[in-house]
Amino acid sequence: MRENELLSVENLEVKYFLRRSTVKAVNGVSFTINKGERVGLVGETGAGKTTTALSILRLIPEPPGKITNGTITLNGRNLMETSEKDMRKIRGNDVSMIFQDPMTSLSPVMTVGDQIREVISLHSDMSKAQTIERAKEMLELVGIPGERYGEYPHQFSGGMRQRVLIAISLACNPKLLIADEPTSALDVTIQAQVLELIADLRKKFNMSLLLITHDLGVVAETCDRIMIMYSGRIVESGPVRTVYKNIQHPYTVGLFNSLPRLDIDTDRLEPIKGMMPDPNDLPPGCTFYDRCPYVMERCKQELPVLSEVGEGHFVACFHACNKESSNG
Amino acid sequence: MLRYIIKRLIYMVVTLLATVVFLFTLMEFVPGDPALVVLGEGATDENIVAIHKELKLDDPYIVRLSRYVGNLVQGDMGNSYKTRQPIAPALFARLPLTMTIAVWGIIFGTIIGLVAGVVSAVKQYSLFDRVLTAISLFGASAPSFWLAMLFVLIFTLKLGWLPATGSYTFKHWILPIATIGLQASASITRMTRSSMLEVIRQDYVRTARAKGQTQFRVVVSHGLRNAFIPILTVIGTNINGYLGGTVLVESVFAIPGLGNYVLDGVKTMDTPVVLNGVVFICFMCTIVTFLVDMAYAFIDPRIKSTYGFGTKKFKRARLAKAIEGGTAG
Repeated sequence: MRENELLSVENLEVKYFLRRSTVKAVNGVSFTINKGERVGLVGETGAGKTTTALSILRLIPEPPGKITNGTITLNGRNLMETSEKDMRKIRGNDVSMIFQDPMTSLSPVMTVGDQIREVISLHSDMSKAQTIERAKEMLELVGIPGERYGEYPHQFSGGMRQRVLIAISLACNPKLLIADEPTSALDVTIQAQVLELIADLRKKFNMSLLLITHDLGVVAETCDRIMIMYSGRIVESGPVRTVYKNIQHPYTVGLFNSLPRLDIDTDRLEPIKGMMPDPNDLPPGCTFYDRCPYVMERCKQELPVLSEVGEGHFVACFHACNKESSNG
Repeated sequence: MLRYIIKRLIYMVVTLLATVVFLFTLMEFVPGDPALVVLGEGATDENIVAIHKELKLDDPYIVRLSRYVGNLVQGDMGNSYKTRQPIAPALFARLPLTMTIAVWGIIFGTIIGLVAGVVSAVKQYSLFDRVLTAISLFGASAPSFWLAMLFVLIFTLKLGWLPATGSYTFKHWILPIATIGLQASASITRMTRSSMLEVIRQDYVRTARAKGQTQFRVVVSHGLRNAFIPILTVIGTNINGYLGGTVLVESVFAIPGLGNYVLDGVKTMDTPVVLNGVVFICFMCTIVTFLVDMAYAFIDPRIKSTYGFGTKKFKRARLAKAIEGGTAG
């Protein structure tokens, strides 16, 4: 383990065992997050981003889900071998998570203050009065007046609720914050505010951040490193600058091409043709082959593994690697 | 909140009034001369006329109805045809026994139903869940009198453990309470299970887990609390159902409660007894419904705030602040 490493995920495999089929949601994902590092995890819906994140907290709904392989190490501790009781001490304390939809992620029958207080009293020995004080401080920290402690979620807007959820996740100074599409359900005008808030507080508490999103622009602004996920595998990863300047994987190229651009006069966006393969029935080779413009015979048979093409820049693609080696 | 209470109270009064008018009218269609019921066989014509005069039976329908409602409001339910005694004291004398059995039955039913429903939902598709679902389907569909007779057959006739009829000792109460409890628990289990299944997949339950909350607390304080509104409705319906069905259970076990009092009235054509008995049961049902409505507001803050739970002043203050500060929350 490297000195600076906080989280390491190795060869993670998660499957959902349904009645008639087995959904292979995550298929051998490996990555590390260093202390204080901000990592963006990008991919389309169904790529396995949320499942990966939930695996870190061991919150995969089981059944039907199950981590079938891999190790997750947090601060040198193997989470796969940690008891459920100890996992509870990690959740919300060492690793916390902000969820996608603030409208449904707060209990409607509990005051927002009590929902913040809950996590504080679970992970500290403070007296009730102290936890209330701390919960109010957290509310103020995310820009909500402390006197709104006794109000219920339905009295808040979506953006405010997301602030409350941020307060909950930061209340115990976690070492790692997982933000699962924290702005997808919000108005565009609120998105920037919430992202800024997360970025500010992350800096303040010097946390590591795993930001799940499908917005490449957000990653460029807030992250040090990017990982691109496709059908349960990481297909490209590296420092944001390096990757954005020198995109290698045809899927990533497709993602960038499908962004609207201001500098070119076009009428239509360019989507990636086709669909992500059915996770019940993955092809043996590269899962992107039937959407890929550079497909070769080899791609259909053999699974490409991540290989380094530049400084810390990894790509899982035969085409990209060939190109790289012939160039250099 | 006050507006909510007043609204529910008005509903309650209107419901009651409509029920009383309906029942009174229904009794008009009962065949036979009440005077014959009072006098029995072999009454002379003079006596019949005298009774008609005494009970003011020849007054027009609308006069008798308004007289009845007027007396009822003052707590006077009139006299029984048969015994010539006032009905109200007789009714109230039988109330404690019926209530005891009903309340215990509902308490047991609720506890069993909640626990079974929650466990069933958390362990969905397990063997426990399947067996329980089958039992509760059976319990919910079996009529109470049939269930009562089944219990008598098993526990009294076959095993000889418990007495079948009467209400003298605690032992006598077990079977009626079990009958009511089982029926109540069956429907409460079913509702708890389906309501919990819905809630347990909600995002806020996942949030609670992500906080590091224990499984028990996640299920109870985040799950059950949110699942409780539909469950509460079923509990209320069960209490009302029992109050209405009390006639059946009490007659099987020969319990001298409210139900049997009404049943005796039916058997002897004692229409005032039947009328007042049913009106009284309806009255209790509306009270239960009212209490359930009140409980909703306490469980679900959204109902409370729809009716402005003392927030008017607060809202105005906040608005003023927002205008002043230029930024609204």
